[in-house]
Amino acid sequence: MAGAILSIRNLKADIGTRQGVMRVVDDVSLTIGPGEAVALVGESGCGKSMTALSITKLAPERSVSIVGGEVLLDGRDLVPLSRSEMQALRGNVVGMVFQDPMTFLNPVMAVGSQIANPLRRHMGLRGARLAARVHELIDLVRIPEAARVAKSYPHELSGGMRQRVLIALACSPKLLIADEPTTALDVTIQAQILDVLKSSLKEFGTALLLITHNMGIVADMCDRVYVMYAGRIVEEARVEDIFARPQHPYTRGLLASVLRHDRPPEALKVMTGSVPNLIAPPAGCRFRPRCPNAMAVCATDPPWMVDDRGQGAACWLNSR
Amino acid sequence: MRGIRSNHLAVFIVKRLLATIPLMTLVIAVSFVLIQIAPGDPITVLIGEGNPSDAQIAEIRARLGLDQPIYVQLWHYFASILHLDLGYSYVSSGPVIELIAARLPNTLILMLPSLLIFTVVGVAIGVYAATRPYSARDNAISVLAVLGYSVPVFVLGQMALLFFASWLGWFPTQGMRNFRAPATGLGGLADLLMHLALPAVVLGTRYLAVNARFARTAMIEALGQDYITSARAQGLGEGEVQRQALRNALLPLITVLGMNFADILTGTVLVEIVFGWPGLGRLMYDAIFGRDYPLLMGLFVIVALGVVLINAATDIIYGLVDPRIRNA
Amino acid sequence: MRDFWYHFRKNRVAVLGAEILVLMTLLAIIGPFFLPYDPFAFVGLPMEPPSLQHPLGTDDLGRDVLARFILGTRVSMAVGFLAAATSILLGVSLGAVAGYAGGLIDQLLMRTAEFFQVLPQFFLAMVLVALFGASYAIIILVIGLLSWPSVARLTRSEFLSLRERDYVTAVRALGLSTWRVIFQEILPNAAPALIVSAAIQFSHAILLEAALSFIGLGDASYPSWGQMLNSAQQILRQAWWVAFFPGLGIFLTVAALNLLGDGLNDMQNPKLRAL
Repeated sequence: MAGAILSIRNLKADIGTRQGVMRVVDDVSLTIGPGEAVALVGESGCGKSMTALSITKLAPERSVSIVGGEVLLDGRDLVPLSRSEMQALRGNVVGMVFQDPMTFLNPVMAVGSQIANPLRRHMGLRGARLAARVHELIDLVRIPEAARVAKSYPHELSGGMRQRVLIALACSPKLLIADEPTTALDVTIQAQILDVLKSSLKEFGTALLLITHNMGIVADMCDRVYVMYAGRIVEEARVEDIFARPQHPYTRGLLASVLRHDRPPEALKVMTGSVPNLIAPPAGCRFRPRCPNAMAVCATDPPWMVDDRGQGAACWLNSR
Repeated sequence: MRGIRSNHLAVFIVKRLLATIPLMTLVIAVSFVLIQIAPGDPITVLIGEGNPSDAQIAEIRARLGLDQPIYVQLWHYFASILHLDLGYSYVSSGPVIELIAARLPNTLILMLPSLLIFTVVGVAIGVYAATRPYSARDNAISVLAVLGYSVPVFVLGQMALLFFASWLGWFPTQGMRNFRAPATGLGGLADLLMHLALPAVVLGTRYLAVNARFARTAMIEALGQDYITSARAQGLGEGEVQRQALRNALLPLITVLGMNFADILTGTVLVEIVFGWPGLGRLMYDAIFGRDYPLLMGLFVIVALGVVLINAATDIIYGLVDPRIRNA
Repeated sequence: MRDFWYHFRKNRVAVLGAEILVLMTLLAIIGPFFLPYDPFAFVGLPMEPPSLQHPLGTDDLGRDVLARFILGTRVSMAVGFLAAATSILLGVSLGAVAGYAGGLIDQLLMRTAEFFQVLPQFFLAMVLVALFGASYAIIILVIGLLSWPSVARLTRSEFLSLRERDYVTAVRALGLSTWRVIFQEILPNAAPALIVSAAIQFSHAILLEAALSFIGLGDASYPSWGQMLNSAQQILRQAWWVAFFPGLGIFLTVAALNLLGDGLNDMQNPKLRAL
């Protein structure tokens, strides 16, 4: 896509363990346009968080290595960038919001100083202008009493407040990567946080890569969806299409396991089996061992088929 | 809001200080029990083997009421310690508390600068090792640290004395001041520093090793925390990231120093004996040599009470420094 | 077990520690049968420097330092071993009782352990040995009695985490007695952590005995390394060899135990080894 904010092409990343090398990100391609909100969904351990960490190169260098592909952020490939070049981009062009707002805030630093850090570094703000900007950001994420909150420590704030602080901390980048931003919060707070997130994105025209396993949040927040399974993208579609006509059996399973208010809870299905071992993954389609539609041909890698609506899936079912 | 917080703080401090009372009571009770169950007459323990006259013994018996029931004696013992009356040393002829008070400053002169300097250097080494965990450099530092705290201070002290003072003649071998050529003012200070250098470095080796090890572990743990990932995600420079980790890693050091206080004092006392430093260690050595039990008991009680108080003090300092406790 | 050796051998430092420890132990057990001189007899001039006749020289009374060093190895290591055994026996029993019984007994034992840990160990040991007499029995007992709390706390926490696990529940459901559960199921699982603790206790006991002897609270019936250092202190500048060899003995043994304990500890922490 021309003018894409983020364009990942054929990314491959390995984790070395004592048992062997795991390819946790296997030939992943993904595109996000300016201001677009895109979801990357899948079960835990499917490689979606690793994909996010590969973009920002925040994975521990010694254990995770990018072995192929490119990550174009605003047209520039991040893979060969040095540590200091990456530092200049993080928090500036690409920001991150994490899962657990308690552990991702420094417990012994006042919240205001934590919000101030990236502003000082990337925007060169100092003194009164810095303080004013910190207050603006706290206001923006709709926390009352900005002056008081700036002096507070994380443990003095509620979970929802902390998550707002993390959103404020992510500055105003071109791309925001949010990794399960509401999983640790209870449902009523979730909706508020998503609202705050939405309005912050709108304010700065920020694109979103939302990493989640919660299809409800996807429907609420995103324009397009990538479904990931065992290190690979198995389906890509616009949000309305993915709910209306999911193509990949795994996507269908994922949707079936979501409780929907228009159906009785008995309809809630849980997929059998578990995510395959990535050190010795099954040949061909990796969902084959759990797939209700598995066929003999599935033992070879399925082709990526795109239909006329732009919806793509890696499944032999679609090739007929 | 501020007012409420400082109230919390005052309550926290008072609570922590009150918590020392049962501990101090127990410490005093332990030392009373020791005197009672020691072989022989408690009078031996109370006056030592310093040849007091019969009249003195009679006076002590009367004063301490050794013929009275045990709980009365215990009460008297408590009362006298609360009045800082730790008994009388017939060997050194003086009140125990005064003998200790006279030597304590010298012990602190040896202990505190060494503790301060080598703790800081040790932490710096540990932090340096933690920047590349499990590298050859880190492994070498770890092994050196283990070797550093495996060598007893008196062994290291004797070797340092032999090598640097006796053979190379760089430093004086014994004592705190040169009494043959007494100097005052700046010359006196230089003389003191020359005497202090060797024992302080020997003592410091242990702090260096212990703190390097502690800081390394704490720093590696802190660097693995989520908020460090978060700081990196904000594009903060490696220096700032390290500073944030350090702040979290160093908080427990306060507690550790408090808990190791007895250990720190033990090291000081042993180094004093090697270098003839006129502090509590020398006093203790002489007391053991002269079977001066009142002085030994007094040293034990003072050190034990000191440990209880230092523990409380470090808890309070920790509370002041760590916002999670300060504002709880 | 083979897995254990495989990983252990890779930790060269821990292996070195184990080797030194084996050598010192052999010296302690066998050495005294092959003494070059009677360690108590005045066999030379006072303070003779190392020579062919007296490889480690003679002390202030003309006794052979090598003979005294070898005997001192046995004495120091035996005292350390027995004191550590005492504290481990005490600590494991009390910790097991606290962890298994829980409730008031647990509270009481743990408060006691905490109080013991607040007391300045060396100073209390000094007072106890001074009051009750400097004999090896007293020294061993005192070190053992003052060192149990850390072992007890470790054992207790192992018990707490292990006793609720499925297999212990299963074994109890089978109707096995409490003692069999403790000795056959819980203790073997707690063993790795306890072995590390034992190495630390051993080195700690050797250090404490040496420090007590050094300040003049040693049992003069047999020489220990610490006692040799005590008598060397007076003649340090005239006869370095009297201090050097026992000092080296303490250092090597304690360092070997610490390195070994560290290595074993790292091995139990797979997290630290993974990357």
